[in-house]
Amino acid sequence: MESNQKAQGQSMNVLFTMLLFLVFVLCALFTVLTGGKVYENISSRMEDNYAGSVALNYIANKVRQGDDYQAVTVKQVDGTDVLELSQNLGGEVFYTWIYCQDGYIRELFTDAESGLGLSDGLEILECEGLKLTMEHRVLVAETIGKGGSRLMLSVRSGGQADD
Amino acid sequence: MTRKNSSGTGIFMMEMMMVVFCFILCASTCILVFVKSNQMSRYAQDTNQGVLAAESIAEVWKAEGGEGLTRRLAAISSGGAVAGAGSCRMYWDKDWKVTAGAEHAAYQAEITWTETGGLASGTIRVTDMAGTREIFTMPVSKYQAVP
Repeated sequence: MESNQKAQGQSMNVLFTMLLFLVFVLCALFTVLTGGKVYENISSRMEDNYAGSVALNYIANKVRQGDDYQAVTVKQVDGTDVLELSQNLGGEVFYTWIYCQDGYIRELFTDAESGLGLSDGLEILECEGLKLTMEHRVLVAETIGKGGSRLMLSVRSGGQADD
Repeated sequence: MTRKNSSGTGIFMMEMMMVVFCFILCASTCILVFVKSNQMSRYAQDTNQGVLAAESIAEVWKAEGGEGLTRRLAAISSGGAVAGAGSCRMYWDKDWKVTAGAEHAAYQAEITWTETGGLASGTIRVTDMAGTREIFTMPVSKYQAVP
């Protein structure tokens, strides 16, 4: 009778220990899973911010830098939207093209006679797509894809040559 | 002998319980930190998008005034007919896409301005829909041709 009670007490002890261990494991698992999910969210948001705002701020900075009379235009080259910033250096006209090709925003700085094309631009940053439109004095730049965003810029010098 | 064994098990149990309790305290603190960091990251994303939205509003307002805001950002005039002053409200959904009206909006922005002489000055305020959380605010001004 006594040994039976003892065995029952021992099994209760084991059960309680196992229960405590289960609580410990569940807490650990929950903490790790929550941490993982939060890390994933933060990482995804950082990527979205990078894709959305860094590209647009880069474009805004370039436009403000090169905002001269009739120097900021948007055109299509081989079906790709290209932002063209022209400048006169020592009597010679140079162009800066900003566009998106093969998953990258690219920049090409060249003179008008060089014969260089879209494939010759330098990679600036990763971007799924870039849509550029210009109406009157407002340039609209839109990044396409995950985290895509839109920025409108007024060209203070008056916009495209044909406006 | 039996009493000695039982006492040892009790102390072991107490120790286990203390350890698990301490662990639960640490885990709950960690989870609170995770939740806080998640919220901060969301606010940071909102601030980024809010800055872009305010920048767009300022640029369009400078180039085309209130009519431009209505045409390009679906702005709704929210001010009364006061000479030399104006006010527009714009809305975005949770993905920061422009929406025409407050129905599906998660964020809003208001620009209010006054014109004195050749200078128009105003403020752009981007908030959540309840208007309780201010995401971004900036002043804006432009010179205009005096007739």
